[in-house]
Amino acid sequence: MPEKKRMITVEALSKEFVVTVGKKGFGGAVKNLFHPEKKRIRALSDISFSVDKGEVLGFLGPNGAGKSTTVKILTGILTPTGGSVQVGDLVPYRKPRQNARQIGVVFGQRSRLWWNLPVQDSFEYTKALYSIPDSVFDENIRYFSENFGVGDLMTKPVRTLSLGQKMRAEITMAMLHNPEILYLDEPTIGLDVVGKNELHSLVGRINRDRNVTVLLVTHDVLDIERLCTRVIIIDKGRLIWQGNVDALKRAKGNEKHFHIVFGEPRQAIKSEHLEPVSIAGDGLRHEYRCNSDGIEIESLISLFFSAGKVIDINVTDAPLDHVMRRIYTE
Amino acid sequence: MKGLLQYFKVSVRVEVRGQMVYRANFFLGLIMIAVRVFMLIALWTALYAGRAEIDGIDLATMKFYTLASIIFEVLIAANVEHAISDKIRDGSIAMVLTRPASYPVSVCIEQFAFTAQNIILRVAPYTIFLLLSGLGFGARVYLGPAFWLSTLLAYFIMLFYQMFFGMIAFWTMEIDGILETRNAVMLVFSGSMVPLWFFPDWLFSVARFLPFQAMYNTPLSILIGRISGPDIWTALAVQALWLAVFFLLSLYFWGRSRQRVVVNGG
Repeated sequence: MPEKKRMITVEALSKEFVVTVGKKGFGGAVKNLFHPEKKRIRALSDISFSVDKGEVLGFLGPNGAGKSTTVKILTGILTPTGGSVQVGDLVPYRKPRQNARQIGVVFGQRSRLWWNLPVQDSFEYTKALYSIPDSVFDENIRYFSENFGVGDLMTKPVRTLSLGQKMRAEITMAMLHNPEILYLDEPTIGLDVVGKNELHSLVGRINRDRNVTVLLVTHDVLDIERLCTRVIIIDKGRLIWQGNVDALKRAKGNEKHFHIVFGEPRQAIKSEHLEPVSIAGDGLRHEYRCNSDGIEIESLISLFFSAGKVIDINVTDAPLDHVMRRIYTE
Repeated sequence: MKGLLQYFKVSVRVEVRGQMVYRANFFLGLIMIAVRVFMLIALWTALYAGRAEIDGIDLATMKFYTLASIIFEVLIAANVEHAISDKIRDGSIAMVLTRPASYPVSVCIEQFAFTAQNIILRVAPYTIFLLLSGLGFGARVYLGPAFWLSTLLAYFIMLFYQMFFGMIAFWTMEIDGILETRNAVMLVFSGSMVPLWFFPDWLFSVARFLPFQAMYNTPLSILIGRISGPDIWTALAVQALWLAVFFLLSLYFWGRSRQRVVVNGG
């Protein structure tokens, strides 16, 4: 077993921004013009983690938690206020240009593609920008065309592409120079179910075929469940949890969900072990949460059967988003 | 170096193709310029009102100057300040900063590509028009090395002057107000609206040492022989000085901006 290569090391990272505090009303606006009130805001404090080569790390957190700020420091765009960052053999903000060669970056909310022009032109532009040799470029185009149908998009102007097609083109473009690390910042934002599925299989495939390290920033737990081996959760600029996805579910208790369809409408079942999550379909469809360990599932199921005619019953692990909601609110 | 050349070539292609996407826009642009030329020619013809010359400039030369200044304006046109400030405003500066090329170098390459596109699509047809139309025939024109050197200096003053103003957006986020104020001053002092030699003496002396005239008035004055002999050297020196000033200011502010980068919107 070869030793795992460390790709990203972040230690005690912090970042402060100076912002102008907006004052209220017209008078406030005038005052702001001449005597702006400045305030320091701590966007990140004391973040430490590391990523090995070939890992898919999920970066989870609510809006404004500091996920994107962390990625912007890792990609060399922002300079941290304190702490240290190393990506490959480099400190990104000291050598942003060298760092750019070892990373691919896709921001879900911004496009690198030339809006007016066929996708091909954007690829050619990237080829020139990164001085990508013909052989590497052709091989990558072939790979992405065969596996992800990018070839069909080449001659289409970017403005005519669907969001899902555009995202495929974006990721292809970010991979043209064979980066070792791929940063994806909210790549599934605005995508429908089909688009998300396509994107998940694309990213998973790239990770397996090319051993690319992926850092996925998202607030969609589905992305995490489908793709990530390990998760980091950030909230209010602090790292509040890290570990693998299964451990995350376990960390908050062995919670089970029961989905029952009754033959006739009925009220919620009362039990000290069960907490109703939802009752729908005119009292036919019930969902309960069992929030205590050491309870025999069998005894709960017989409780349902004794409550009335059961048509269907389904027991699942707690969905990750329930776990997340509790982590955020704690 | 080979990489940069390739980057330039692809950028030119992207620029030209980008212009040709909206063909109606392109052709209307050509028509607009033609309208402007005929309006100015009519204006000057009326102002001369049969007089042989005004302030030592005859009508044929004045017509030539009018056309040449329009071509010149396109030739040294830059889109640098808005390219920079737009990226800062909408946060796409993040994309640029994760490229393997230095941002000021990228800005220059894109500007050269923009100019190449302008030469192919605008300067070339206007120049052919100028030659075919017969307008300004009989004008006294100097097309020697001093003119080309002055044009080159004007081009790079424009480039770094705009880069400097663009960089201000790293501090202020928004530079439109600053630019509008500056453009109003520039319109007067550059000589692009009214040739500077029609200014009163005191105003002319002020204008001579401002950066604005170094971009338009100096090369055009050399072209039609308003500046000649040893004065050419003074004019070129003033241009070189302004080029150095804006070059250094751009680099200085770029160096400091890296600490100040804020990425708007997510």
